[in-house]
Parts: sequence; structure tokens; C-alpha cells
Amino acid sequence: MEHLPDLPNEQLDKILTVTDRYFGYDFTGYARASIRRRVAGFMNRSGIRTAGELEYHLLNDETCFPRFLQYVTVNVTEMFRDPGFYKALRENIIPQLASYPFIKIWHAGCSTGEEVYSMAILLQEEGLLERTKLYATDINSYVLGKAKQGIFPLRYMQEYTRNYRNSGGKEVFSGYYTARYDNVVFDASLKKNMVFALHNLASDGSFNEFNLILCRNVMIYFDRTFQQRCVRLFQQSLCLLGYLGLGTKESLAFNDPQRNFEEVDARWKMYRRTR
Amino acid sequence: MPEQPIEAVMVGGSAGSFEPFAHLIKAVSGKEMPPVVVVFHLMRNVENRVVDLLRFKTGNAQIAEAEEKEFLKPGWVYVAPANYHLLIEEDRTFCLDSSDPVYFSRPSIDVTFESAAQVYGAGVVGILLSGSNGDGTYGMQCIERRGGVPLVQDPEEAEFKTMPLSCIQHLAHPRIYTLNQIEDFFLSRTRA
Repeated sequence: MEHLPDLPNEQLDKILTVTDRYFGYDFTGYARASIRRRVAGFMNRSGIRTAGELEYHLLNDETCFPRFLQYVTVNVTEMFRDPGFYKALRENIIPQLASYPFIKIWHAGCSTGEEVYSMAILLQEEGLLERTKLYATDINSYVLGKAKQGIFPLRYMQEYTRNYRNSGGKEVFSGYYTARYDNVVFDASLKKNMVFALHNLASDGSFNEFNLILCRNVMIYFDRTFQQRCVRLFQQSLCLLGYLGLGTKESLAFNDPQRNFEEVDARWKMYRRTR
Repeated sequence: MPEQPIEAVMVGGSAGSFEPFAHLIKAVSGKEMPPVVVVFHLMRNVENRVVDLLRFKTGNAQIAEAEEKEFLKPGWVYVAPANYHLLIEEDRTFCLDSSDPVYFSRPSIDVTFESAAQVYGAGVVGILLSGSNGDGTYGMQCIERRGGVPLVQDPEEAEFKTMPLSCIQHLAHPRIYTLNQIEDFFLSRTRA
């Protein structure tokens, strides 16, 4: 492994000021240790040695920022990630949602969309997909494009199939996609009620009222202030008694000072808006 | 020249590292230890029993999975959670990150050690135990470069030699210690 360049705070700040002022992407509220590692990793990969040099490239090479954004935003996701979460969703939350005439779900920070397709499959099996709208948003237009396509590498399917089964899946998983060469494409019927849009959790506001919001492993990249802003945004975007699902290592313990949420599943980090 | 106080201890290991680690923790229990962070390579999506097992084996109750934004407290042992990289912020809190595995590992020993080296500099001790891949070598280099103390388990004693051997080949001045020597190192540097 090559040694990553050192990025003292003032140099990192300089870079983050550039991305905020020139490109409108505010990373200043991101958790320092991980954003530092990502920026240093990007420099390493691009053969850039100093923060000054990176700043020059960002401002003078128009291909640089899109690549930078692609690299520093973490886009790791998988279908039915944490099967236990989906099992809890299927058994405890979805039956509650079934009582609504129609259902709106928001995947905040959806990345390449694996989670949205997982949800569509789950809803299909529970007979709710027809009356559900799935809103999927991310700050990165490149991954959103991927999510829209619903095309994923074939080599992941073995693991996704295992996840699907462990999450309480009822069908044959391969029935949901068509394989071609090295990729698979998911059924168009799953996509029918999906809406994809750019949305920045750091700067954009509420745009709808949802029954369920999934934001898993997104807030871990934010600092406290940013996290609290996010939680307020979710509260404003949920109907009363609407649900919020977070990643397994995330919690509202410190980010909900007004106690607007109650915990419904401690193990799988499901919450519900009570105020 | 007074010895640099130890602010934090980072431990990494893969196959064959659990028993030696438990042994070490048991040996230093009751001492005034700085925070200890351990990164084991774990199976993904498997219920993590490491904390329970460690508590049971060592009789030490102050063992927990590292939580996001939590302060590293002296006297505690923190286990890196499965499926995340574990980093340390300048304010001595944990930072989790689920970006790509490094050398097929998440958590990665390299990632944690590198971040600890940046934050603690000469105040960190890195310990690399048994394992069968090259993770940890780069992280130990980072610790060494910033003046921290890199202790490598003696490959002769390690159940799997690859990890310690790889590290020894890439460090300028590795301290190759048996488990007993690692134990003595801490006993001599801590108060009861």
C-alpha cells in the first residue's frame, strides 16, 4: 500500500472550501477522519502530491471534480444488506404500512440503488408494490444514473441471493432479473414506481411526506451537527408515526435531543416519529 | 530521556490472534491501561460474538464494540465492529466508515493503524499478532514513521506467520516480541 499524503486540517479545509464555493458541494460537516482518508486516497490515485496541486486541478481541469466526487462519496451498498434488518422490516414494519391507502418511501443516499430494488422486491412479495412510490435520492448524479438502470454485476448475485433468503425472501431470487454476459438487469415491473432525484442531505430541504425513510450508513460520514440537521430533516419528512431505518452502527441516541422519535427495534435501529 | 506516555494501544490480527489477544488482556487487567482498540478480521454478516467471548475469557467487563462518535476511554478495550472500517478522530472519538474493503478486509488493520498514527503520533503502540495475510504491514509502517512503537508477535510463536513476517520485512526497526515480552512491556509501563 502506498503511503497516503498527509493532509493537515488547514489544507483539507482549503479543499473543502473549494468544493463548497465552486461546485456547491459542502463536505465541511463530514466526519474528518474518513473524508481526510478519501481525499488523500483520491490524490494518491490521481498522482497529486499536495493540496495546492489538487486545488489547481479542481479549478482548472473540468474532469477533475466529477472524479473527485465519485471517489470521496462512499458508494458501497448491496442488496438486502444486513438480512436481519429486512426480515424485521418485512415482519414488523410492512404490515403496519399496509394499512395506508398508498405508501411513500424515501431512500436517502441511495447510491447505486441496490437497497431500492431490495425494497421493491419485498413490497412485491407482500402485495404492496402497486400502491407504493419509492423515492430514491443521492448527491451523486453518476450513481443515480446507475440506480435508474437497475443493472448490476452478475458476480454479486450469489451473495445477494444468500442475503435475500436470509431476509425471509419467499421466491426464487433469480426470477427477478435477467442475466446477460457479466451483468443482470432487474425486471422493469420493479422500477415502475421508483423516482430518482438529486438531493443533498447537507443543504436541501424536505420535499414530501413519507411513511418510511431508509437512510442506512449515510449519517456515519457526518459530524454531530450535520447528523442532527439530517434527523430534523427526516422528522419534517415523515408522517406522524412514520418509520425511520438506520444502519446497524448508527443510532438516534445523541441526535434527537427533542425526543421526536421512539425506538421500535433496538437491534436493527428502527425508529418511529412520535412528535 | 523520559519515556513517551502511551496514549492508546492498537492491536491487529487475523487467523490465530484471538487467543493471544485474550491472554494479553487478561494479563494486564487490573493495571491502569490506556484505551486498547483491537481489529480482528471477522466474517461479514455474522452475529458478532467477539465481545461476549472476550469478556468471558478475560473476566474483564470493560470490553465493548466501538461505537460511532464515542470517546476512547482509558481502561477500556474496544473491538472494531464487523463490516466497517474503524478510524479515530483528532478529538479521540471513533469514526466508522463502510467504504470498500482494503485487501479484502473490512475492518482493515491498515486503516485503523494509519488513522491512529495520525492522531496519536509517538503516543501509540501498535501490536500485530498472528494472521495469514499482509494486512497491518502498512499500518505498522505508519505508526513507526510517526514515532509510535510497533510490536510484532514473534513469527516463531504465531500460529499463522504471514502477517507478522510481512510486517517485519517492511519495518525499519520492528520489535519482535513473544507474547510474554509484550506482556512485560505493558507491565513495566503501567501502574497497578
